[in-house]
Amino acid sequence: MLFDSLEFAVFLPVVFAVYWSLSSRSLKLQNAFLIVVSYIFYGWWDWRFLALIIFSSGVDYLVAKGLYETADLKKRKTLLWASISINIGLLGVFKYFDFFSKSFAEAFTLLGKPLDPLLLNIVLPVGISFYTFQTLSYSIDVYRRKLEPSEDLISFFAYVSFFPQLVAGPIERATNLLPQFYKRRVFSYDKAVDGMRQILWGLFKKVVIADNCAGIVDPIFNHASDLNGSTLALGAIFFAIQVYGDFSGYSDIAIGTARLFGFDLKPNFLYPYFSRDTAEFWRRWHISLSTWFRDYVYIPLGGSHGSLWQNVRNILVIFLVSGLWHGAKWTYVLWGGLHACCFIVIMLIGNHRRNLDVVAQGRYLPSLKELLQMGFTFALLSFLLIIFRAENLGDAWVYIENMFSESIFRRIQIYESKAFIPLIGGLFLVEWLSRERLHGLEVLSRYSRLWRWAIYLGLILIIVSFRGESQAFMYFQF
Amino acid sequence: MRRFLKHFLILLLLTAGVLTLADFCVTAGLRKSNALLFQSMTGIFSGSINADLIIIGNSRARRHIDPEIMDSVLSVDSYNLGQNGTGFRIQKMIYDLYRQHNQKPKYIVHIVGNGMFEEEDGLYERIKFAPYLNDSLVRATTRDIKGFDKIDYYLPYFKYSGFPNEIKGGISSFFGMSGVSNEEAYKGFPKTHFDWNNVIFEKFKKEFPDGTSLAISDKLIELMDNYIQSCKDDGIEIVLAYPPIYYEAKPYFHNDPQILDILKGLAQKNKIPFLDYADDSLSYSKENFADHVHMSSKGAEIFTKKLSQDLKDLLKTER
Repeated sequence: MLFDSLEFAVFLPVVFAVYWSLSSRSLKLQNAFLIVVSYIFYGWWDWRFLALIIFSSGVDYLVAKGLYETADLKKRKTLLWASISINIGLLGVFKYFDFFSKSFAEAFTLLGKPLDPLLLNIVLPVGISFYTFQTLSYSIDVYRRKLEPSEDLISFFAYVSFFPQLVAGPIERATNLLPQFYKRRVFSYDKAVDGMRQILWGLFKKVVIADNCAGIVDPIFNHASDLNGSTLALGAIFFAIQVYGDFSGYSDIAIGTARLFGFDLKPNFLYPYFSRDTAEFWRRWHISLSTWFRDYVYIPLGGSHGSLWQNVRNILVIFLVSGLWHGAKWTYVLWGGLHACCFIVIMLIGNHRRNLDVVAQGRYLPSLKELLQMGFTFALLSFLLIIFRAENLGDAWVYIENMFSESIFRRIQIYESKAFIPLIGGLFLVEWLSRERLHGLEVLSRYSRLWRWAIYLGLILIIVSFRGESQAFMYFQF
Repeated sequence: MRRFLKHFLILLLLTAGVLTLADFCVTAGLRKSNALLFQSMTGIFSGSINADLIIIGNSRARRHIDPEIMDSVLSVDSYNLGQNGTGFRIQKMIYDLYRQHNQKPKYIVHIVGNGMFEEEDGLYERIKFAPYLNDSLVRATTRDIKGFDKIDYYLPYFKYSGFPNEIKGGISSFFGMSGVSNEEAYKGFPKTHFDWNNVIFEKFKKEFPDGTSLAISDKLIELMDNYIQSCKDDGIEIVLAYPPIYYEAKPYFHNDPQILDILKGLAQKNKIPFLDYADDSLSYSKENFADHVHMSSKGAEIFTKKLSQDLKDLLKTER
């Protein structure tokens, strides 16, 4: 079920009403209800893959219990590796098997020994990369004794399948989300209203900004060899805006929806395009994934300790794995690798932990230096996203080669409707003014009711009027 | 909770009110709009066309037949009702709507083509039908063709969702300002200048390197047969005309001869004239075309003159 669909518009109020009507009866019943509706939400896409979620949840529930009950290190390690193997195995089979099989066969063909790749041709289950990482982090945290295993099967299954963040995150740690299932949720007017505001802002970013950008971006990337450099450059910028609108919009809706049910999810995006370098960008973009890789891959590898070479190696590993997490394509690996290079350069000059604050804190406008830094970082990110968006490395090369040709000085060729473009300015303006807050409309709580409601109605009218051609959320494919 | 539900309900009601108001303004504005996209529908529903001769068809009618030339050659009042991207189902709806709101025409020139009997799987330029979704015929016909979502028929304003330029045009028109676009049209015929554009043909060749066969629906053939008969029963003289196609594109349409035979058969069965320009000398010059199936402004002018002369011999026009 998509957040911007009619089905969800019916589903959400019905679930909301039943959920809160159960709050006075029993917490278990309320959590069980969340499992049922989460499975309906997921099964709307393909009910057969529900078995995978149930299996993954079951395995980690049992593994964690086993980890807690034994002090034997060897046994504990075996159990942990069982969880890692099963979860990564699921990802391997469903997401990466065909990719590695094809790449292996191609490598042999290059060496003059042609091989027929063994392909499974299985559909990628939506959200598998998100919920497997979530259950995996639970087992690892129990292994590290940072968390006690859940005694409550229903709460645990509800935590794994919680519908607002099931299919595209944020990837919630058990340490944050699971305890919220143990406690009775009390309805909070302010929290619910702010959740609604965040949903509204998320819808604007997805339906208006991302979907309209897709209408411009898709034809440009599909005909990159026929278009001039200026159009391709603009296509890259629009794609950067599209991917941000799409994914941060999804996260806003997910977090806002969770708040309606009394849950607090961690922020996933903190205005990443106002970053002054790519290191700052990674602290603000898809935070739940970046911190997952930091805590479960980078730090176990040694993190920033050890020699310079070890440090560089660790950064390379997490960026390459992060690239591959997005999909079984060499373009994602290269994208991750190039980001690693950028990060390493910043690290070598000692600037990677420089911009930890919010840009232009306490000021309305950035300094010229900050503006140039943000502009350069955005241009670099947009350029790297060409590789992310391209179907394959060949297409990426054609795109970049054509973009940097003399035709970059020719007139831009865009024939799709451009009426929504001023709204991109609106998006960045609102987010600039809100950059010290958790979402674009949080500031509204300080306005008078008349203003607040006028803004809600205006935004609803804008969303309905400027709705782009409906697109599936991009991160569903990951 | 009660406070939240109360406020949510009030917001919902206010939203419904705002959307209803917006729907009213945009609908009323577009229903009187004379902009290129809406001109024909405005004319049909306002009953202000009342032409002697109407031209029906798809974009090959709309872009090929200039009523200004036709009026001068035939000394009639003609109007071009051609609608881009339509098959026969929508063309028939246009005819029925025209008959409901305007006086009976004396003549119909139905521009036929190879996409005629293909069931539409999408409503091209659907926004022009949006102001008329409350009309039972428009409602019934558009429902069968993918285009509008279910909610577009029930909730106010949603039918305009995703068309900000047209919304702006509708509101401007509502307040008596200019319409949706500045493109000019004369009696349904766009006064835009078209010259050969190689990109479209190249794109077509890339998409269909081995050519294509267009679907033929028996239901639509039957519908057309009934339509011709009913026109004849009503005393309307109807002529079918098949305009030229650029000669290099012909091999790409594999079942064109079969479709032509069906059309000729219908004309023969109903004893009506069929003017076949498929292989006309106009087909052999790129100058006459804007792309592989649409004529250039120059080609359209020559073709309209040729067609008008041929019609002159066929129709009992009043002099």
